[in-house]
Amino acid sequence: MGEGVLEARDVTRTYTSGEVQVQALRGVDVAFEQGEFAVLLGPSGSGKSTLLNILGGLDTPTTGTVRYRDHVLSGASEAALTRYRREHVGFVFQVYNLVPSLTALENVALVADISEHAMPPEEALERVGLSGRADHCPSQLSGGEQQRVAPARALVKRPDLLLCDEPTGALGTTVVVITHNQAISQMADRVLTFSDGRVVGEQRNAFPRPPSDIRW
Amino acid sequence: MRALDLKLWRDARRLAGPAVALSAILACGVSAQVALRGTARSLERSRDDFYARTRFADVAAEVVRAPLSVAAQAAALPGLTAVAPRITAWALVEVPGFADPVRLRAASLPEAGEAGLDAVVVREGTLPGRGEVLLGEASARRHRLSPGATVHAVLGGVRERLRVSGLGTAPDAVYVLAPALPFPDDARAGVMWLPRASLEGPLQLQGAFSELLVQVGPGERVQEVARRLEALLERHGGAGARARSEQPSHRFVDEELRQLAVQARFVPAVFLGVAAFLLRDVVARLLGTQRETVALLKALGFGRAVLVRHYLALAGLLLLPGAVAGAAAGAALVRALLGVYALYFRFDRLVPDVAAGDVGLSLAVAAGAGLLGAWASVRQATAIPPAGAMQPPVPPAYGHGLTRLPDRFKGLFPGARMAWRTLLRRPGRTALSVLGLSLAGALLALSGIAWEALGWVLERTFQDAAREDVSVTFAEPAGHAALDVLASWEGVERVEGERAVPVRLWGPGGRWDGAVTARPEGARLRRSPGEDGREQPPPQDGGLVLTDALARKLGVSAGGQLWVERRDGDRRAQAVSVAGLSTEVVGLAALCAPLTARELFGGGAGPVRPGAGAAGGGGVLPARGVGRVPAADGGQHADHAGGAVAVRVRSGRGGRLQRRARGAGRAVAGVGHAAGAGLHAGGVCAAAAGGPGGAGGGLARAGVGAGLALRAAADGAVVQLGACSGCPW
Ligand SMILES: Nc1ncnc2c1ncn2[C@@H]1O[C@H](COP(=O)(O)OP(=O)(O)O)[C@@H](O)[C@H]1O
Ligand SMILES: [Mg+2]
Repeated sequence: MGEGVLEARDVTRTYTSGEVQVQALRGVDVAFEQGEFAVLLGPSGSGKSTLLNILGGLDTPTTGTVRYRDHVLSGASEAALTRYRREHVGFVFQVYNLVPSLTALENVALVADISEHAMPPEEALERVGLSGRADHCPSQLSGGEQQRVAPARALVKRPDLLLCDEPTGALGTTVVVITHNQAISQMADRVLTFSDGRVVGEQRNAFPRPPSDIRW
Repeated sequence: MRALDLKLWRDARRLAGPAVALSAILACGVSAQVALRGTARSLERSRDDFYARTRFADVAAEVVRAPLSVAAQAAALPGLTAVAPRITAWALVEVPGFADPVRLRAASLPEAGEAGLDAVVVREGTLPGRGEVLLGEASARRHRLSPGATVHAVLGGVRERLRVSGLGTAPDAVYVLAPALPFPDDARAGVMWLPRASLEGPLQLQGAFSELLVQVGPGERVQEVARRLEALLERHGGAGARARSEQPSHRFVDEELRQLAVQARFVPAVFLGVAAFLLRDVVARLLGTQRETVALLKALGFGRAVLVRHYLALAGLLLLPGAVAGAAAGAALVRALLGVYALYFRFDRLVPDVAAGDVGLSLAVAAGAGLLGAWASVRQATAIPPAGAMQPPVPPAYGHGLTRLPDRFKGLFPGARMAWRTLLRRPGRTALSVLGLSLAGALLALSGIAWEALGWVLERTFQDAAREDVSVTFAEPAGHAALDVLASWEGVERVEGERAVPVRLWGPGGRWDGAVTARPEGARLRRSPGEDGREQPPPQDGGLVLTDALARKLGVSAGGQLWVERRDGDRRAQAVSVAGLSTEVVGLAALCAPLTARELFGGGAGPVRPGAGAAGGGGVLPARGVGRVPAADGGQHADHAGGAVAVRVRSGRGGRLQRRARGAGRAVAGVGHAAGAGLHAGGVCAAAAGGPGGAGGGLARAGVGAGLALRAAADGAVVQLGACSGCPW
């Protein structure tokens, strides 16, 4: 495995609740290159979300190191992680997590407000086809529409890194996507297969197919 | 506007409902603090301003009669900055349409060019000329007397018709306590001011004064000045010089204000404590519902400081209406309360004084608690990495020792066990909740307790201590025959006389100007409860029984020694022992047996004995004796001669006692007048003896205050005091 912009080395993550301990990650080594579109595949509970959270600075590994370019994320301070998330990461969460008191446009603007090279929020909404719904509050949007605000919000800041936890929709930069959707994995440069807290397989697509070719 | 700020306003609007509740709590806490403390401070400041404007005397000394030249001598004493001689005397005033006599203390006004102390503020009308009178505002308003009205006053035995020129108030007459009236009562006691010329004649004080008002220089010892004055005035029949702290009006005002100040400290503190507790908790819970949003914002790259600021601002917006409303309501309440207090505190004006400090402090405490809640809640949501915080909270752990406690009680049904576990899981919070509820309960109890306490005091006083229905006060010594006449009166069941001697008592802890009361053996109408709750009659073999409050003031306990000095007549100081303490609820008092009084102060009365003869040894002497209706046999009564004498009448039991008691009161005065020989031995209440019209000294106790309730006790009837127009309850 070569040197990448985003790298996890020997990462473990153990959840402790009460006396029960769950080993969600048991030693993960992965690296992602600039511009790569990678997909994580694997059964439910295999640790995909946990890894993605750690890569996105939303969580810290129990052991091991995580590095994004010259930022060492493992063991970084809370403030440093916050800055990392703000400056580099776009995240599409598994549950779409919108601020209920803001409209679709304002939810996107929320992120644009704190980013340096953001695109106009309207443009981000346009890309996900929600221009007509810009002034609607989450409660006035359908489930599918809400789901599409999340990628717009992640993309508006033109992130260096886009992390998507089981999204639907089309994207662009270094993308790490978790999906059960076989069709999406056909678009990826690389598909990593996950099982029981480890990467158990890796497959490179020599010819990633464009979304328009894919049969959903 | 930035999206986060938009969220702030939207959330604030969305939370308007809870905000109303929060604001109500906050407003309660803040307004209570602002109102009560503001009222107390306003009253205090208004009083101080009033005293300063009217040049309230530091010392007042009463004499029987002293030539005006003595005032000039007094002015030359060291430590004084001003002296003002004047004439004062109690007068009986007949108010049209009011059955009981009204006692007004008449005081002369300074002549033109004289530096007056205790200056009168004219509130309505003008200063009086000859044939006119300026009435004290409180009693005048009580009797709806306006300038232009006419009253008849008996002054020094002369009945005069006086035109009311106006109403006024003065620093020595904010409250008026007439002799033998236990409470201020605007209906029956008050003040009036007349030109000096109107008083000189009837009181035979041409070129003389009967009271000297004195202002003491800054830094001077008031008590020392008082001593010097007493020495100067002694041979003119001085009755002691009183510092402000002994001046009845000031003492009453002072006591009231001190009580208010205590209340103003305690009550709002409880309110504020409860409010703070609730605000902290409610705000924390309210923002706790935003936990996932906080985590999301953090995940999106918002720093913790930004989020804390955001949520503090949100809490601030929710609390703001309450803060404004609380401060405004507090200030408005101060005005409203002052309006009520204006009826009790007859200062010339009441100026609202709301301190920014009170507003600030209460806001800081209450709003601070709310903000603390917000901060705690945000902190909790940002303490863990956002990945975890965005998920629903982990179910609370029920593992530790305390939560297992309910398991030991097998009988508990599952619901109860659940409840106990929840309570015990966070013992700190549970303890705080208990504290909050206790404080809230304390507030309720506190508001009720004043009435309860008043009821208790009244019950102790009128059921146990002063069980008579009517008390008759004699301004001059009365012979024992007075008892016979009263006892022979129809409806009178029992008569008991007491002798009161004005004295000064000295103890290790202080001194007291008051009276020693000689109570006859076997007295049943007036009783003093001892510390064990049983009656503590004055011992026949000498010594005084003090109320515990007086004992504290003098710094003695049972078995201790005091010095007693008569304030009229012979002033030799004598040692006297404290035989016991009583626990009377009202005020300071010293009791002794008649024999003890005779030994200490002289006089002719021996112990109660059948067939006791006529008045003894002239001059000054105690009244005592127990009589029963029909009390045709004067032999039941001991002699009376001299001293201040009170006779009490107890009328029959049951129903229309109030009217009968009033009737008896008036009638007794009438008898006093008619019965000549009998009562004139000592002279019933100065006015009754001298004045026509039968406006005697009969003071129907039943009539004290308005709205009396009567209660029939097993062995007779006991009069209870209801709301009294002059008392600030
Ligand atoms: N906050 C958590 N606390 C305890 N266990 C967790 C938590 N999050 C995930 N897990 C556990 O970690 C394992 C991996 O979860 P996850 O990364 O969400 O898997 P995936 O995304 O592949 O479905 C699962 O067994 C899951 O139950
Ligand atoms: Mg997952």
